[in-house]
Amino acid sequence: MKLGGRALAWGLVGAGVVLGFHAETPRPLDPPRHGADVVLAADLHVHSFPGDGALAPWDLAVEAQRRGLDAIALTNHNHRVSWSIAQMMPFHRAGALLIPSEELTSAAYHMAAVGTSGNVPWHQSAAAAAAGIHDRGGVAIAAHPAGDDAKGFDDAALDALDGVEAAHPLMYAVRNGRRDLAAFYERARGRKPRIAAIGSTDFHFFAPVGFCRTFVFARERSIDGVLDAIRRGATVACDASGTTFGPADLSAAVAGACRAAAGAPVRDSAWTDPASALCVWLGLFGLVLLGSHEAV
Amino acid sequence: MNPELRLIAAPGPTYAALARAPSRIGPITALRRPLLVAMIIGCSTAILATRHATPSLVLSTTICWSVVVLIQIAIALAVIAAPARRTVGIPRALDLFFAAHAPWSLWMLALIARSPTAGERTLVPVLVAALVPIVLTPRILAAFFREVLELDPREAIRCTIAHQAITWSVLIVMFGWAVALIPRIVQWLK
Repeated sequence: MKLGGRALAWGLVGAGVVLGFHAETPRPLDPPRHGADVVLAADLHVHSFPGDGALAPWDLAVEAQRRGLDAIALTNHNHRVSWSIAQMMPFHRAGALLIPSEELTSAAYHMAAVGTSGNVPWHQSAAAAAAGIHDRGGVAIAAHPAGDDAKGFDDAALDALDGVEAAHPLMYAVRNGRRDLAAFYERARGRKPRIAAIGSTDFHFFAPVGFCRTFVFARERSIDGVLDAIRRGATVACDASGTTFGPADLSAAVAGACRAAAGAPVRDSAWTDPASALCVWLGLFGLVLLGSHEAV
Repeated sequence: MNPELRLIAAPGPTYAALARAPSRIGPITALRRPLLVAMIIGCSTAILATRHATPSLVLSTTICWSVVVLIQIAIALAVIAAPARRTVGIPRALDLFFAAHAPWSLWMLALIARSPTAGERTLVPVLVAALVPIVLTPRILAAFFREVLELDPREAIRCTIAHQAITWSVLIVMFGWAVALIPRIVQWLK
């Protein structure tokens, strides 16, 4: 009886994994065009394994494409180990474009250093950190600049920034989060009218990646294309309610896409997605409840 | 009730019975419980992060996060290998040690059932729920040291404290590196 129960539990785990098989390789994205630009969907603040993210870069790339993202930036705190590991992996292949990045985490600010060629020291002022990011070929984005994390951005830092996270899950998770982000974005725009509006998930462990996202009007589908668009301010931030932030002309162009992407729905979703998770969960729960076959 | 769940309710008598029961656990079969724990961690991580499970995703997350299980094995072997009065072999002791993981396994499965999202307002209930395995695990481990490794009660408590201190120190160092804890502490002190 108990042996039969364990076999059933293992069977459920196996069935769940097999049910998920159809989602192994998501259909490639075909990003729309806007004039001469290709409009890419990107999440420019994603944590990965090893670090404080759940998924390894190669799994993130596939999951991001499944959620309709063309590119993600690997932004672990003050290190780029996951990017280095991803570069060594021979099987890293499909999915969204991975951008080498880090989240500079200091006592006074958090700043996404996106597209850099090496580590940037975090124990320096925000303006100096932004300069360091530019020296390494990247773009500097103020990460969730609300509350204490906004205090380190003086006027010199605002002048040096390329982008500001105007959409971030703390809009929903923290009281006054939406108001604080909007206030910082307006302050940054006051000094630099064409500063890039960025929408990011700050993904760690809980789905979905792409919850908030950035529409990037890039000249080409490449890391350089994404960075160039951010420098030009050719981006629109999109929150999980389908609201856009950024230049009015560009926002109008992606308003529909932003509404459709609200909450990061799965492309080509099928009943097998939740069924795979449910089967695996039931199977594991059964294995824990039934335990080993030892009699006590 | 199975041995793992009985350990939660009555760790002393259950470990005493398990230690006395004849067992032919070798070095390979000793890994059955650690492997199940690795699979629970890997599958839980995959489902929490993506809400589905595919063969390559589950394999990848299980391999990546098995580092947590490997660390637990290393710490367990360090404390198991020392006591001289132990009558069960090291493989069997390791197998029984991992029987104590049920509270954490159930907590992880409960976390999936709760299914938090990226925009979650608060994770306080999840963290409060973690107090259950945090409290239960030392109680179960003290019984393991007493009944399986046959240490006297005072020594068993010392070993439990040492084990928990090592485990949590390693965890804090890893977590500290992952989240850049030092600048956050400086920010908090300011």
